[in-house]
Amino acid sequence: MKYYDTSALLRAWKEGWMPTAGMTRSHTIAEWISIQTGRGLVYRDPDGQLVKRNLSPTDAAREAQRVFSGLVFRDLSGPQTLEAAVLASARDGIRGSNFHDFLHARTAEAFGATSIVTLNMVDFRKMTSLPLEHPVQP
Amino acid sequence: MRATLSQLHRETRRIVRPVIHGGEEVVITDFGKPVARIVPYMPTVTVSPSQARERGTLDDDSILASIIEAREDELERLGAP
Repeated sequence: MKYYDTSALLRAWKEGWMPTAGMTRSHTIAEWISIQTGRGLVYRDPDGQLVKRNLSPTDAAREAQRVFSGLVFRDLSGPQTLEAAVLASARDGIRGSNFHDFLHARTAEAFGATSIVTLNMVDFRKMTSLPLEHPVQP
Repeated sequence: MRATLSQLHRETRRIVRPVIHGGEEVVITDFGKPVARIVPYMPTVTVSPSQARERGTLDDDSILASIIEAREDELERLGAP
């Protein structure tokens, strides 16, 4: 089963598809909603202009229900998360906001994912030996 | 919102963040007089999902930057006094 991170699910949403199977963390919903209703995403319009667009909370909640509908949620327990912090401390470069990605990777490994679907190949490559995939419509 | 030049120097992120992410304007004062104005370069526009999806392109770097910056915002909020 594939593991989808936040970046993959934002890409899927933009392209108008949703994963039909796979897993993610519950916290991915928080990140997805937070971005869509907060700072938004920067789009390039056909005339080349950059525009920052976000969604209303109502629309974002509805869209999230659709995008996440085919996924199962798998979450690390508190002790597993603390264990992940110890593992992260033994590796270079996993600090600050990067720790969220490490938790994605640890969750994928702990629950037997076959690959991680993400846009963030560079960071995940340093965090896991699981295969990485670019998000494409199934 | 108003801020003094000294406040801008000491608390740049706190003062500039509402401009960037909240679409606000900040008037900078010095010796009690307005001397400059900081305005959003790219205000955030709330649109329908179809407008967001169907108009314009969204590159991978833009998605990744949004995630990193949203997380940093959260860390900053947690660390705020």
